[in-house]
Amino acid sequence: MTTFHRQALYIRPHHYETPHSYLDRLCDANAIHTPLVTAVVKKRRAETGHKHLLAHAIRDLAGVEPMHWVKAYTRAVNPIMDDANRMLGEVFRKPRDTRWVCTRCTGGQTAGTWEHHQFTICLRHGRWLAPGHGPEHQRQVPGEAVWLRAERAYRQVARSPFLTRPLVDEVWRIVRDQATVLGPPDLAARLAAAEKAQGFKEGVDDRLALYPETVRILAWLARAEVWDRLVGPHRNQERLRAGLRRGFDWMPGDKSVLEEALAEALIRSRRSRLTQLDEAIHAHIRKHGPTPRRIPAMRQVSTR
Amino acid sequence: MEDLTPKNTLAGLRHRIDREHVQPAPLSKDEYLALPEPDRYAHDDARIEWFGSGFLLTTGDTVEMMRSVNAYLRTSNPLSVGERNVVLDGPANVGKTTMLMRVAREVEMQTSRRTPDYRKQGIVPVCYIEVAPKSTPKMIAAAILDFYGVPAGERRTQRELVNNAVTVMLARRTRLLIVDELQMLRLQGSAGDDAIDTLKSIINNAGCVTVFAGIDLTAKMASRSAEQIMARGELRHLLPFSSASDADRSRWAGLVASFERQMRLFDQTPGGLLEFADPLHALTGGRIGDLRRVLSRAMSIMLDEKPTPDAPEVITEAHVFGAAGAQAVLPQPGTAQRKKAAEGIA
Repeated sequence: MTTFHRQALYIRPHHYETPHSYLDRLCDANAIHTPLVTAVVKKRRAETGHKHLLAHAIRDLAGVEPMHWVKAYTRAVNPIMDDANRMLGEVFRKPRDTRWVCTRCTGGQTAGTWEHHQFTICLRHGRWLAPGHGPEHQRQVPGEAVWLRAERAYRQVARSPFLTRPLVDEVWRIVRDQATVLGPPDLAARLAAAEKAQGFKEGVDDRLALYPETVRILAWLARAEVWDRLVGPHRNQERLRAGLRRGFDWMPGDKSVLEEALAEALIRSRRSRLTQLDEAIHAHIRKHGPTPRRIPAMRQVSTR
Repeated sequence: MEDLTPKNTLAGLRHRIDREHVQPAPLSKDEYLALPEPDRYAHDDARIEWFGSGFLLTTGDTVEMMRSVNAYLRTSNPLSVGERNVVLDGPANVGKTTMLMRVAREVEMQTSRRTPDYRKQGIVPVCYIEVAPKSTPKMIAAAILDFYGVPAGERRTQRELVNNAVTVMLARRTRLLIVDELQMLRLQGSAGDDAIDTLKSIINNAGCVTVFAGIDLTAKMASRSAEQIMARGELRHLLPFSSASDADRSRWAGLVASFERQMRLFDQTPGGLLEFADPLHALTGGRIGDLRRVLSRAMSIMLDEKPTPDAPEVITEAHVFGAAGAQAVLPQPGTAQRKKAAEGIA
């Protein structure tokens, strides 16, 4: 029976790194035949039915406690904790979609994390992490501070209980679709320049070019007042569209399609999670008091 | 409770290397008698443990061995071809493994002086393996992988295991490979040849200095492959202490006196054990390991059977040789002369 022992070289798990990715890197650093370890883990899992045996193997090899992976998964994905057993299965299942750690933080290695929406730019190295794409598509963000400010704003927005991953993805798609007909004046030009640049990759360079504006829209949608006054149940849809028009008055150009698409996305998102939204709004009211009748204007997220 | 791991694993080797044996406190007899009873017993236990396994004597052989290994490590380049070996040959219980442990400790200490955080960097300067009985080439490679704690797998081919062993040694920047109990290898015949060839290929590719140790290696290593190993390094014989000449006898007496000092007995006259030097040589065959065992036993008997705490602590003939005394272990004098005389009469 193969037993695992503590290895001579310990490597630190990266932020939100999955156990599979960590095991690959650990085996690589210590010249361990990775398929041998995975085969042993798979066999043990088949014999016992325990989903977390991968964590035990990692603990034996490197000393990382099994709870580390559960905590990292919870922080990254923010799952609904109604079924602990199912969540355990998710933590130790090889993820279908992977995001990659900044390759400069890892010294050129590839390290995978869970598919999360916590951050998009590595602030230490100024790297666009290209969500949904491989590590080879990571880009250096433009030198302007606006991208870094947008990233800081995005990290706050990502913590909001009102934004879901499907809604964030939908907003990304809508902004990308409407970018050519929208102002600010430099938006379309920026997108066109990105498309003309050598090595343009759709979904990577275009998203990077539109990132500050996308974050500004997401920041507006993440506000409790928006959901309470405009999107909550029994609210008038016209009121929602009027609110959207007021919320995005900073954006010149033809934005009627954008507003319509966002309104539909919000209504769809509301329908799929009425109870959770109620809980989130009530929690917000308990903490901050009732929301104002009129939603205040959005604080400017500078694009200059 | 200490976590006991075998010495042919990295954790076990470092556990032994790092372990500092605590010397018993140097008490006077009055201080000892003033101790409460449990503390007195604890002090006795500490003295027995120190004598039985704590202190290490640096003999001339140890110094020479360390000088050789150091010189090879300093002068050999991992990128150059042609391995450097030291073959340590000797009978059982003359202190071969103890010497290897001291060499391993010395090399680790040298590495720590040059790279203080070498363990954090994953550097393993010394690899220590023990050859299992009738080892095959796969078992040799697996022994190296086991030392590092790298899972070997049962179904992998010999080539994969050997490559993996070399990769690990290079990745961990191992400079010294110690192969103990080499006599366990089947040193003649094709199986033994294969195992030695595998070992040679690992050493060649990893570019490390190697120390082989075993019993009667010069007599048993008869194959061409084994001769190649013997020819590429130096052969060091570790023999029991002799009593053939006056100089040999005085070296042995010096060793007995050193052991006596480490006993830390209150009433033992310095040099008191020297009167038993010749019988002790006859009893132990001049083997340092046997001498330690015999004297440890004597010390344990003396301390355990003290009638009162203030009874004199002296090692007597009965403690060392039992009721029969020292004469029982000495060769009967005149036997050869009697034989010759008898032959002459005939």
